[in-house]
Amino acid sequence: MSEIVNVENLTFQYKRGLQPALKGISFSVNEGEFIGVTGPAGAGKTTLLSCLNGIIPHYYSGNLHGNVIVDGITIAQSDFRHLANHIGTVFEDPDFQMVSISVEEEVAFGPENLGIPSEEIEARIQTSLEKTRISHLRDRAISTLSGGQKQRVAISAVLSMLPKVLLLDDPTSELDPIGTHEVFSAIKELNTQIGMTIIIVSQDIERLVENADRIFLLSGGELVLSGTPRQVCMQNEILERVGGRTPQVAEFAISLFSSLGRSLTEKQLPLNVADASILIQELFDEVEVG
Amino acid sequence: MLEYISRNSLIHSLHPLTKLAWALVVMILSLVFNSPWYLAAIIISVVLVGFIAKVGRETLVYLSALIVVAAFVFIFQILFRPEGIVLFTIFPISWPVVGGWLPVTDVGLSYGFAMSLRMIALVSVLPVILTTTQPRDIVMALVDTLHVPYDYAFMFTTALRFMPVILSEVNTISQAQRSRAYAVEGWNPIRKLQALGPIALPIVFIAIEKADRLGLCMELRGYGSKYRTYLRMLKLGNLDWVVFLLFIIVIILSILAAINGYGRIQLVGM
Amino acid sequence: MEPIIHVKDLNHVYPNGTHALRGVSLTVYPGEFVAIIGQNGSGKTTFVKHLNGLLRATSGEVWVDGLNINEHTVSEMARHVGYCFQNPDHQIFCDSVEKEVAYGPKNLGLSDTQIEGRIQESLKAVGLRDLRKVHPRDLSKGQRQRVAVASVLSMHPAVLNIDEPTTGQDYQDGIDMLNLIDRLNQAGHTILFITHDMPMVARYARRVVVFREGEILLDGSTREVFREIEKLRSTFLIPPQITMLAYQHRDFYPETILSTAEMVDQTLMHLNRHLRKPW
Repeated sequence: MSEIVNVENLTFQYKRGLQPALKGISFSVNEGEFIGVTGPAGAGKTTLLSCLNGIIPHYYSGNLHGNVIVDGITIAQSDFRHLANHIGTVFEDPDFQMVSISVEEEVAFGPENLGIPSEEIEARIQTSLEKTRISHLRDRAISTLSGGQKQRVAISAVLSMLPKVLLLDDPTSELDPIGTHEVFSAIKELNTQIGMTIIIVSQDIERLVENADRIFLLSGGELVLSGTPRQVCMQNEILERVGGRTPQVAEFAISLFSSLGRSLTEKQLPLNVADASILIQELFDEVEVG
Repeated sequence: MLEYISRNSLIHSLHPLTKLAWALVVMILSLVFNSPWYLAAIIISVVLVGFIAKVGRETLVYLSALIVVAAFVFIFQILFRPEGIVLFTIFPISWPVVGGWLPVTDVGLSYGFAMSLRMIALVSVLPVILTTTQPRDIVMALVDTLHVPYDYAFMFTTALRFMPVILSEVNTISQAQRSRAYAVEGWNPIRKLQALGPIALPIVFIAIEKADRLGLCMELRGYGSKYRTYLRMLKLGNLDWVVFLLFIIVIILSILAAINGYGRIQLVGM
Repeated sequence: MEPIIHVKDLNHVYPNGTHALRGVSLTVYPGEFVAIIGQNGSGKTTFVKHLNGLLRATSGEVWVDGLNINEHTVSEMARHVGYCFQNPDHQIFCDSVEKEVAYGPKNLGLSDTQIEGRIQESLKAVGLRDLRKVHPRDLSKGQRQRVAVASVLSMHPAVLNIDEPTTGQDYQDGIDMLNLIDRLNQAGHTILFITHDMPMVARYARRVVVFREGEILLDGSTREVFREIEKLRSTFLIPPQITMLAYQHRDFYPETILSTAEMVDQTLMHLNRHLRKPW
């Protein structure tokens, strides 16, 4: 697996900012990885994404230091409008990130803007809609769709520009549980079926932990933790201190073992209900009921 | 409201340019002729086209909404055209002081009919065109063939697309403020203006913020590059050319007729 | 005690024909803290909007604070029922926090002295006393939400309806918001909050009403409702992980579990009870 994103010593301060929004952040992402980015409000998550997709420095200026390289391209020095061919972004608001009346038009919008020939646009529309399983919505007016459907259209509209990396800034926070499930399923499928590199910002730690290969915890502009979901959740004290949290079952296990005076290994740490169920069963079996 | 309605009709299959040309022809005819009969005939022809396009009912609904505006135009003309033979006056002569004011004359009536019908005729093509043509096809026709800058054409369709969203936000804002005992009562125009604040200010802020975000998203997907293609590139077909020919014939005939006094009435006494 | 909200056989059909509420009946007593949950389109928001008259019934009765909704305008009901919308920016239009909070009372015709009193009281209740002269646009989203709550509180409504206090919010802001609402409940306000955030419901609500397809599917204490796992699943509402976990081992956890603390306690109790050897 090759490196597709490389961030080196990234520091950024907004023009009107009182202090840097990002402080010396460094990390790299391999092609095909699913990265979850979490942290409290104001931690710099959106700013970080903006540095990856070129919004900073091309759209918002400020004091930018360090290197950001995506798909071999140095972001700060490239043509903003063509960046979408490498890295696409889906935003939080299902209503105000799309411009067209129908789904078909929206997915065509990007390629049209770049002068792609009509036949190829048609092919791209078909594949993009298939990848998010919304081919049946092609002729629908976007205004008639549910939140989850709208976000999947937004994803398709970004996919039709054939990026290698998909950025998502809190795409489910405005959605109901069904919509959230639809969107996360679609993203996971993109990752497993076609190897799309995913970097998603979310505070839904339960879903991040379930889907991500690695999790980054941001706080106060710094990359405080980074590692596999298990590794990160083991550091629950740090998480809680910066205003983050672990999945309930992890919190439970850590607290329980602490009360029992036992140490919980990383391998034992439950990340979902199934894991926790096994752990409890083991504990009960140890003491043998009756 | 005036959204594209998908039907299987001749009009739907015409190139957007043809329909835009039709709008131009109707406009020319409405300005060349000022006889109420001819103007009424133009309106009827537009409604007929609406029925051929299978959107006849929608066209009539839209036109009936225009009657209110037409009535205003009518009254306006009557009040400001006192030339000609006085037929009656609004204030009976027998009344003290204001007796005999606001005369209604034959010239006034003619102008009234003519101008109000002309207004309806000019606008009548709108419902037919908007219900039979997808906005993106209009954009394509304007930009690709007429070389209108993409930004302007795009502004028009984006406005159409976001009208319902903005209206929905305004509705929410109105509900939120009413829940705080906001009420617009009475006729006082100053109070009515003040009452705009709680509704207008939030929507303006929201709209500006969202427009900024929207612009960003658009640019992120390549908006603003010099050369742009379209998923559907429509070409002018045989039917379009026939219709264009028809338009030219109609215009020539109309101008000839008008020069020879048909369809034109004397409005100002000579 | 007289109910403060009494709804009987409420039906609502939208102009486009959608039958959003089908014969809904609900009674709420003063001081209750109720979560109204359900998927988008279940009718939960439509229902709550009837309580202050924003929507009018197609048929059925709605009585709030002793008043028949049909006989009063929304403005008149504002004195009795406050509605906090999900997005505070739908409400905020003044150039200072204090003017914003004064707006409601002003509309109600209170005197300047009374209004001043209300401003101080409401800002203290939401913890924004020091920010009274600040322009709301200079505040964070969480703070603006509290300004919105204060501006509704200042009308002294007996009932507070809060629409999705945690959706689209930072996790910590959401907690702060619900803590505030909890304090307001302790101070005597009847609270209805619309949400689909199950962990928050488990943590704060004392009574839960579940809407599905325009009807009330479940209505009871939080523990009672969260026990009905299959019914909740049928409307795609999943209880918090800890509740699900306890449910899977319900032989060991007969009571519905709502928090990790409870789960830890119950687990320890159970392990100690069946000890062969001491820990």
